[in-house]
Amino acid sequence: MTITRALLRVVAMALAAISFAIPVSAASKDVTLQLAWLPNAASAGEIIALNKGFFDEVGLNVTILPGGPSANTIQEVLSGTAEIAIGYAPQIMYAADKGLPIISFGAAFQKAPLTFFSLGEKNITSVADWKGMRVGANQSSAPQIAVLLDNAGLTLDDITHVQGRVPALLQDQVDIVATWPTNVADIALIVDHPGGYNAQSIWDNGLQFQSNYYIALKETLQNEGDMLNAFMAAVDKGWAWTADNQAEAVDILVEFAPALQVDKETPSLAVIIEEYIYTDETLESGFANVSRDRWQQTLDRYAALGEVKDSLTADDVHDGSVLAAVPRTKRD
Amino acid sequence: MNQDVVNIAGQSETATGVRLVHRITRLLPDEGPLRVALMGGIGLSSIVVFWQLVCSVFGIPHYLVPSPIDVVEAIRRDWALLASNAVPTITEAFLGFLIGNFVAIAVAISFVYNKIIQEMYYPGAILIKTIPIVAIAPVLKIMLGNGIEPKVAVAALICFFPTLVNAVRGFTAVSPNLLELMHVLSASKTEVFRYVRLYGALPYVFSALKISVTMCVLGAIVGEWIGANKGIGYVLIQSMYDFDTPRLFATILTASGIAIAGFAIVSVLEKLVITWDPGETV
Repeated sequence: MTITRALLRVVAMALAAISFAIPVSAASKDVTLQLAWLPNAASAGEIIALNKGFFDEVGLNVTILPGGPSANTIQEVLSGTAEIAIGYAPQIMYAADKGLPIISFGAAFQKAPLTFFSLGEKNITSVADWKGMRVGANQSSAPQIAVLLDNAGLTLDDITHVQGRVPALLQDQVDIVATWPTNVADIALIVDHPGGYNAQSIWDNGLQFQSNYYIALKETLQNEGDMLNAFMAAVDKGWAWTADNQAEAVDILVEFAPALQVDKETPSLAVIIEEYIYTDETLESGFANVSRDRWQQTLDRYAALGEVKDSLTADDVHDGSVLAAVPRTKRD
Repeated sequence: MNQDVVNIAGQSETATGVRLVHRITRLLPDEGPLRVALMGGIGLSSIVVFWQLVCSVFGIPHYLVPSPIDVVEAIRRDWALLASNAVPTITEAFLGFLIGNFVAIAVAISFVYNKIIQEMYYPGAILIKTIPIVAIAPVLKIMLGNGIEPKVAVAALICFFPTLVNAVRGFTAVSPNLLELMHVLSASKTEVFRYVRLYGALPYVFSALKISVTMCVLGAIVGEWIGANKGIGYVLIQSMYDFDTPRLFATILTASGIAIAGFAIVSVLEKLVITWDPGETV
């Protein structure tokens, strides 16, 4: 009798423990976010949201995975390693073209920063001047270069596309080099050049897509829309906090990724917030706003070059339901 | 007449130079580890001095190659960062080294004792060697997750082949006379393995371990390139993209230091384990 009672008590306690445990685990959902690149100022808002507990506030237990030169964020989402990832427009278009079940639901960067720099002595003031030049850029940038050249009446055959970075420009191994002006360490060498420099961004030369898109599986969007809404609300808060507390945000970044340097991330973060995260469009439409028209124009440009199918539409690469459901910070 | 004077003076100068070199060489210890360390040190210092001279004389920009002084300054500034990031890399490399070599030796033993297994799986082992590690690393990340596992796996993969080949060669490179003798003595397979094959294989295995101990550090670094916010591989990439070449070189030196330390440990272990003349058993 005593044994039975003791047994019952144990069972009752176990049941009580389970019943207490269930709401706790349901309240905090595990979510993995895969960054597109190494943690730096470009992912400050997400890292701050984690550090300041903004994800916890909305019931998400987020793990941030760093990216890197070999990381393929689309693949990470497809394999289920990460529920949400940060991706670039060309990746998303190619994934949609292949029929992969990936969708973007917001974009932290209002415009893609990719810019082509040349030294003042070369006097390259427009894309039309690229004829006969050596252009240093990643292999994956070829379609972007092709669109820019096409807009200026040139083709890829008119230039020599080589792999090259800023030192190659300074050593006269290339005439033009592609980089992100948000990487202040990268462009410092060009900005400090005594002969000055010229720059042509893809944005100002007829290729207007955004960057650092938030992507997920289409299935996640359908079944776990609330989780994505909560995520969007938290990163919105994270970026707003970052914009208001930039010095502290850089300290938190360096703590998260110790190889970062305060003196390099501080100016990078300022440029990212002023030029890319908050623009006139976010003042009107809110953080992470995505323009469907721009998506369509970019898809059309890529289709014209034969990079993707003609039949792709903005709906294949973007879903506006999360942005519609979540009130976001409006500022510039 | 004047010409002769000059010649004589020149000869005497040369003779003084030769005498000086002789005197310095006489000061050096004849042989042993002290001489090795001293000569190595002098050689290395001469390279560093030459490197510094080239940087200073030709005014090489720091974003291409930093001068040794810049690198020393970076080590002084960033030693805490380098040390703390060396820990995960050492852990991954060490675990990869253990797993890769353990599996390689186990597979080698199975090859030696079962020819069919060897015929079936040796081509597979060669295939593993030919896989480009940089290409397989992202796949391993997707398969094994985001923790230490993919980095350990890359390190283990890179260690596997040299040890397998050497161990197979070692286990089979046994004198037929010795095997005959063991047969006459009615030794069991286990006894033949324990008293003959193991002794024959150990020198080969240690040669392989010396290769793989340096390779596993490389494996761990490649593993960290797939995505990490700690480790020597992470600091390398971040420094590269920040154009912080002094820190890049300091990180490279740290990676070399880890590999050299591993090599030294394996060499010491080899001296302790192989106390016989390896020539006798083969």
